[in-house]
Amino acid sequence: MTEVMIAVVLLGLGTYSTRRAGVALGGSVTTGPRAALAEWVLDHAVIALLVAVALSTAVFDGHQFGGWARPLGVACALTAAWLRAPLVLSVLLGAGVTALARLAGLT
Amino acid sequence: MASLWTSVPAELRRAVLLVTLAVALVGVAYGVTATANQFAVWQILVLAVLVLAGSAELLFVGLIGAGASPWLALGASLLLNLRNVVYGMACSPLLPAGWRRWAGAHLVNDETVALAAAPSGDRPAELPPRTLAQRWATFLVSGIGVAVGWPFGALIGATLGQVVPEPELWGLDAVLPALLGALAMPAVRNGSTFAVAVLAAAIALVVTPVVPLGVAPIAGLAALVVLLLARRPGGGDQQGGDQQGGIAGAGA
Repeated sequence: MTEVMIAVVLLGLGTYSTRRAGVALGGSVTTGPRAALAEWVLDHAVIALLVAVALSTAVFDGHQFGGWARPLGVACALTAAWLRAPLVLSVLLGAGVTALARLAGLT
Repeated sequence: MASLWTSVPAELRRAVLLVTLAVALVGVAYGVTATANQFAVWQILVLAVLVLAGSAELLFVGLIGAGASPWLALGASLLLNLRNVVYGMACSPLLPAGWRRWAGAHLVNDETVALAAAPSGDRPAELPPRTLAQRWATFLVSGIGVAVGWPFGALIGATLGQVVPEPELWGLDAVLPALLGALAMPAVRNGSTFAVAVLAAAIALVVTPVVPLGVAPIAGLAALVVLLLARRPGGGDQQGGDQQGGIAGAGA
């Protein structure tokens, strides 16, 4: 368990470092001569990351396919959000459909 | 605190509260999962406060629970958190100088970036553009919400974990992807972000089974390279114009 706690502390330090490094780098990028391009890239990178994290956590458990229930629920949530449903409704719909799908026997 | 709250644009206040609530819900799922994987309550809380990155913590406790070495779990979680470099860059202009920059950096995460720093999509035209002070307030308030809601939810989950060992039964594992996807949705309506989002999603889905854990979202960034190359022939117009209109041929 000692090893695990060392890993926990290192994960905390490492994670803070990634954030702080980004903040430091961003200062120079967003004010330089190519600021407009940097802003375009950053805006799109943020969206790409959010969507990629959402989709891979929706579909996979680690490397394996995580069953149909969760992707189904998340697809409903995203459809609701696309149709401009309030955020709370979309998220609850995602959890609710997933739970119901599992109740109905979908893994 | 009251003036900080009123500095958050009115149309965002509900979203900030909801994000706090949703993050706490994911925290419950994390607390239950970590308990099932033999983590003690204090360890769950230390991880929640010190790391403050939901998906990485879920990955970390999941890998340890599956019997992986702590160092493999550390590496995979750090890889997943590499995206914070990009998030930090996007938040950089919002953070004031001095100690608030150092403290604020800890609050950089998916949710705060999506609320305060991501392109906001098709907002009603009558609303004035958000000021830096408003965006900083949005960042800070949602960041505090996450920093409080996450460990709080984790504590509830860790307690609940003794009773209800399966967060999956309630669909709690769907809250994180649903929240992140829904937060990205307003910005995705615009042509070029739509293309990037679809491409990044496709790349992440294809590579997840074959790359080391945590790498898939970063691989999704390749979508940007594709789009940047695609827009090159159109001329070097890197101004705000295509923020609204999207670019021709981006969907190809």
